[in-house]
Amino acid sequence: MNAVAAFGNRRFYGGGPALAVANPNTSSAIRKISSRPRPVVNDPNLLFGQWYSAVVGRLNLLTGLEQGWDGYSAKAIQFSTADFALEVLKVLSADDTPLPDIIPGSGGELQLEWHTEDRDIELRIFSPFDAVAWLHYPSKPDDDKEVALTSDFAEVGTWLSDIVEQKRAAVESAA
Amino acid sequence: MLPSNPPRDADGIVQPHDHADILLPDKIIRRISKEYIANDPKVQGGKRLSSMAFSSSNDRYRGMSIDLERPILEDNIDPVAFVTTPKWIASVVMTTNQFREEKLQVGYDPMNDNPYHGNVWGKLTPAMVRKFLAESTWYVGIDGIEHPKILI
Repeated sequence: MNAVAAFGNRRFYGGGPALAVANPNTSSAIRKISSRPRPVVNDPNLLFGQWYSAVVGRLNLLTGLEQGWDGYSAKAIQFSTADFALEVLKVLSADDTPLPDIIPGSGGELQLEWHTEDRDIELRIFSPFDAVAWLHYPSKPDDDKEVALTSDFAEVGTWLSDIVEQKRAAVESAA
Repeated sequence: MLPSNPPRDADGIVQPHDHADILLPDKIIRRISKEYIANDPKVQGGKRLSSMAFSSSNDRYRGMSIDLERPILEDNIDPVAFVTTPKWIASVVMTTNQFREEKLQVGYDPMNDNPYHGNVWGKLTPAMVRKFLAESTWYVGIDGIEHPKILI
């Protein structure tokens, strides 16, 4: 079985360990975010739904990239990194959180990116429990933030909540 | 003419260095995979290059791979054709000086299948990458994909 099939099948038929939540260093902050209404992988209505299948499809593609996919010597994204990214997304995503772009790096890392009209959020996962997140305001670069992350992604959750609130406010004002 | 032999460690791996034969105005090409394209409502067309376009490898010294334009030209090879394939559809270009201004090292690291291969060594910070995205220009562009110049 190749890496692509293995990644998809493992998730669709029983799933693996919930990395972020299972980590003994998990903070109360991450549990707080986890308790928000969000998709859960065991929900049969979600299992083949848009959120999950879109993310798993993208991660499958990235774990199956050929060596040299970047035009040089980059290898495919490690399964463990993709698995961790999926777990992080499950923790961070509320029902109306926009899906990020999932971009691979030449060093085997994955970056989750959310870009809106006034800000950019980039969460780079080098390997499980080794990540960095950036919040960038193009019009207010002095307010930029950078945080190193292991298992507590609460700050990124707050950044994403702001985007969701903005989106809700825009919908309400348009109505 | 190819740059002179680069310094290597005991295992034969090229060590980080600033190569004297790679001059400040020399053009440095970075190939762009379609996997580096992200959505961004701030840019025209809604799509842009991700900052991951400037990411380092996970080899021993974590260099960022590049192609050196001048030796390709000196060997009478079309550099656009050399760095472009159906898989690596695009590329961006900067000068050696733009990297060295940021205290990054630009060196020569020939590969079996690419004698014009080099590396940029040093820590690529988010601010630095945003600067590179803004300062670089398409060498071979992708229709409808903008450089995110508004990020600076």
